[in-house]
Amino acid sequence: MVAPRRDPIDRSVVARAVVGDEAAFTELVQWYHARFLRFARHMLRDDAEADDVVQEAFIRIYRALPNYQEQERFESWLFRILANCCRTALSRSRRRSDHLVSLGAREARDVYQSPELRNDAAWHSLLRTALAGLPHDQREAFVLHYVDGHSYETMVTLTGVRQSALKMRVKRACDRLRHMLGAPDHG
Amino acid sequence: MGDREMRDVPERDPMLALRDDPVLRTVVSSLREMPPSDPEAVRRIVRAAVAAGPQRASLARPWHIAGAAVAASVLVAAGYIVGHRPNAGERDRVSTGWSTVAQPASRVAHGVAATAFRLDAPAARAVSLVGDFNSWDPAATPMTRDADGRGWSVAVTMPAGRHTYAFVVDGLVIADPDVPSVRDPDYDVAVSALIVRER
Repeated sequence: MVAPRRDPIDRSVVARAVVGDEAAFTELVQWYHARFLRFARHMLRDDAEADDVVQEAFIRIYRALPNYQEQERFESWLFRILANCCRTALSRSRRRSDHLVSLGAREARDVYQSPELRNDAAWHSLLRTALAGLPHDQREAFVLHYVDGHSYETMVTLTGVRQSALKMRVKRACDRLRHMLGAPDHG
Repeated sequence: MGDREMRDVPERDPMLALRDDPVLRTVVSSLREMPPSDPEAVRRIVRAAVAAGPQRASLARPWHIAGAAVAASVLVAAGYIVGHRPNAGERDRVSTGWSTVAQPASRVAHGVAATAFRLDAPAARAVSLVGDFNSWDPAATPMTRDADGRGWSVAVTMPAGRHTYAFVVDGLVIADPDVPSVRDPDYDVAVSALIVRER
């Protein structure tokens, strides 16, 4: 397992990117590209679409950098733009995703309950299917909190949703994932 | 633990809450795997972003290209910034137009003791000082509003030598409006220059 890079980018890089320094912007893309791609893949399921959405998000970030207000945490600002791009892409492909999910839930239990089937490819396919089985708002909250490591406080800034609602979404996502993966209910 | 302390410590990894939940811990561990680095994708994204270009400069964001001096002029014309007025202590230590280095400096301050900066910006909500001495970090050196409600001040200790600096007024970078600006060779924006001499 590769741990997510949770350390924030150096502020001086941000300051240079804000004033239009292309080398600093390149450094920023290098720093966040893998994390962005991971988030987009979990949200969208389709890798090619995730690639496109990540590129779109970075273009929006580049265009919006001159407007960045230092009062806001930089990472929250970045992920808000990325999450918005993912939501837009999801609204285009919702029908297709729903179809895949209904097939995936049964498949998921079979693989989880049979360890011999749990080779890497199958396990990852299972996970993505299970994630895709979550409603979008629960999936987003779960990935932001557990996968990308954002605190609820940061997520409030990022999503504009109340902390109590975010906690409820994460809890429901956990319950649903356990159910889809054939795990016993967890207190 | 107070709010300030909460902000200063690294965020606790939410994964710790899954200590007693082996299924979800396995799930999250797998989901946390990073895609491999992809330098070609990074290059493609940067090319696409640069080709798309930044949003055109306006009064709201003169950070880029338009130049701090232009922005400052606009703001001065709008009565937003009245102008730089050295405070009494500073007036004794600052003379304009003196330089000992190849590039002309706009201000000269003697001594490595704190150098005072003041900007009249009565309508501003937040002002900070940026420069090579704080890595151009807008959060590093906030200025405080003066008792008269018009000016913003801060004193900074910096080593002897030539320094470049600017003000960040509600997110806008502006050169010191009271002294001639110089062009920053790295970022191609107008900034101000200051020489601090050893006592």
